[in-house]
Amino acid sequence: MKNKFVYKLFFFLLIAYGLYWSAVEFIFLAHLDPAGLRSKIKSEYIQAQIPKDEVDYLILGDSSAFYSINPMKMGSNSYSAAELGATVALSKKMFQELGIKKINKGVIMIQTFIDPHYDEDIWRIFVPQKIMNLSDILSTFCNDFDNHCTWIKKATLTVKYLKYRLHLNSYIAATISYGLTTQSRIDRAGFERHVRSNVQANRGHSAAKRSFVLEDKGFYTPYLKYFNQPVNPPDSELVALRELAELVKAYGVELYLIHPQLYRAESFIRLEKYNESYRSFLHKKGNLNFHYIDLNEFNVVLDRSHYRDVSHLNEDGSTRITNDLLYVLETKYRRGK
Amino acid sequence: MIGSSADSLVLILLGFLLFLYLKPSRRFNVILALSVAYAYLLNGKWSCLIIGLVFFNYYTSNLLKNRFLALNILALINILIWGLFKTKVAGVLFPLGFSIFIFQQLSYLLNKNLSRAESFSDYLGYSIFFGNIATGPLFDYSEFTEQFRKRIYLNSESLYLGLIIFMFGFAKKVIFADSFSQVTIHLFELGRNFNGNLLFPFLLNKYEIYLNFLAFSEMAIGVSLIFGFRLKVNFNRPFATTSILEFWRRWHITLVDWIRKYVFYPLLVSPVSKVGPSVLLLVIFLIFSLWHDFSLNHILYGVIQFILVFADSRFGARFSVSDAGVWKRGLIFIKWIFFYVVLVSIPGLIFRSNDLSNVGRILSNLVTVDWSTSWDVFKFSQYSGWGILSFILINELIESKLDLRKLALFVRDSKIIVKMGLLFVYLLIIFYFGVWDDLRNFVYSIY
Repeated sequence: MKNKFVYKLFFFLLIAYGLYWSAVEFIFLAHLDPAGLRSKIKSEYIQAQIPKDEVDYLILGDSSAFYSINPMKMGSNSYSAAELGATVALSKKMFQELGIKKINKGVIMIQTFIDPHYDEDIWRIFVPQKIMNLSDILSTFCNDFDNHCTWIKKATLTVKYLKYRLHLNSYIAATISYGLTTQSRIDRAGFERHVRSNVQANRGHSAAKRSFVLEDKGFYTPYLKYFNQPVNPPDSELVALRELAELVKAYGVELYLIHPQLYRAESFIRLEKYNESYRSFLHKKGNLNFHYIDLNEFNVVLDRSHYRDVSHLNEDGSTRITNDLLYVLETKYRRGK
Repeated sequence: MIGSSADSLVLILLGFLLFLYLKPSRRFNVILALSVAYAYLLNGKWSCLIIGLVFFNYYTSNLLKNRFLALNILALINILIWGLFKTKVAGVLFPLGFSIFIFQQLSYLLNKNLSRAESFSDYLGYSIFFGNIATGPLFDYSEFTEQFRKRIYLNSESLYLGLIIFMFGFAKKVIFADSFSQVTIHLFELGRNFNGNLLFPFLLNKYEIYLNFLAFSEMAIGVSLIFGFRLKVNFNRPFATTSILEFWRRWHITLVDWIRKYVFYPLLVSPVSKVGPSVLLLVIFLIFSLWHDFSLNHILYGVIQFILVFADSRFGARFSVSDAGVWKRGLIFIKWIFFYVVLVSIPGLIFRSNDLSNVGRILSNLVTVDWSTSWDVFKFSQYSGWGILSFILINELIESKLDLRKLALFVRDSKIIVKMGLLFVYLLIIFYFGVWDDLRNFVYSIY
């Protein structure tokens, strides 16, 4: 009698879990998750629209690159493959998968290395949306400078990956809640159209219209905390960066890593720790095999009207910074090429 | 804390299936396994230290038998270890739920009338019981052994009641407490994105602390009951009074009882009692405050509570309003406003602030910044001021009117389709109204 109840309960839980998993997989993540939708559109664009035979400049990196560099201002054959929240390992994988035959001028990358790229973005978006698989996870977190990964670390990451693929994690609650509540607040079809057309029209770049308003709810705070503290990415990111630089060199061009353009005018934004740790991270393994450019050293000054928020530029900002970057590249780094 | 991570919920669910499957005589093993696994989930490698301390206390206390002076020294060692972590001398983070754990160790070591644990597994189960670890409510070893005898039987009533108490606790956390924290966060992170008058964060601060404590206590009570263990109620509508004395009878009941039983009464019958009960009361409040944190703020909080309780016990009766006519009700309401704003909210602010200058800054904001800006704080939260107010009313209604036992029996006796319907509605409510984006955990267990 007792065992019968246990079996009944077990099968009930199994069916309930099946329903839950299907609802999350086929309703919430597939249709009702705006963050996932945006990443999917961008991935589709990168795979289908970027020419495989020849490009001038290719832009890689995270959201900072996605918003800050406008390939439309870099000639008629430059494209942005930057992804929101992308790690270097993911960018490197994407670069390899793109399989472009010829790169004429170079690869530009902006990478902020902030914490959520190694936590929330991966587990909340990339894994459930199947943009990153287990081997991507292992290459992002596991390899040290000797390309070594202990089995304990591998096992831990595998369990964590499964937890997020099976939707047994706390982030899913936010996705379900967001999916339920945004239906009445957001025009989803309009949102999808907007993201798709924006990415299409700007060759993979997103031109943000709005400007930074200090008082706006949550406009800078979510990012602010990450720039007031040192960066602490896994060492494997530096390994991936150096490997990417080698891959780019094979095309006879260079990889240019641009220091993120961050808003710094207000007194409570203190970037010293961030900037210092950023540079020391890059130099952790001796000399760089890529060009590292801090545009602030070239007196490129932006004000609040150029920003969408603390770490992302708007349309005016990206036009300005792209022009300045192009000038620096052509006059200082690529002169005579 | 149970409910604060998906891992813990999955673990409990699987554990419960196994628990049901096993014979009553073997069920305690599941309790033990869950407790160890949960301790590891909470504190990782530090769980080894906790289990090591359990081992040390168990064998040493067995060796010492009833030599109470020696047991007191052993208790003192436990307090010193706790103090090492609390003052961060050890240079590591305070293990989650370590204070609750130490309280339970002390109640075992300091209880003169207690027969010692028969086996290490019994004592381990008591020390790190997954139901209350990190959040309380506290219980004695005798309560544990009385309820978890050799065989553990379950009944459907306590199963459903436990489930319902847990579900209510969980909903209170994700809907009520977390939406409050979106407002109160501006108290301690002024300039975050709100620079107006802090009246509402100030007023909601103590209620948010209460909601968090209440929610975690209810989740602990609920999940323990599912496994057949009854924990004591920890909060009994502490704001439904106008007396600070009464408030302390309703607030964190098991902790206040613990301090009374293991600190106040022993001091009262010791030579120390010559200093007088008032000084002892001050000591009690200082212990209560310093348990939370070693800081000037907490010392001040303890002193203020002592003064308020002392004054209430001496002069409170003069201001009592007993009859309930229209005028008297008005008077009671004014008294309640005074009680909540002056006697509860200002000390509550001191309790939660990092330093005293912060308290001064917030209090000066309340009087210097234009009051018309106070409502703007709700622009930064998921709910408007009216929404938050309705949450308070709903919570008070649930607390005062809803008979959870009747509800549990109703659900138990309903048809499966009704049960499923209720579960679906519950899930819809918590996902729709809950605050999930921030995944903010109120760090109850740092205390």
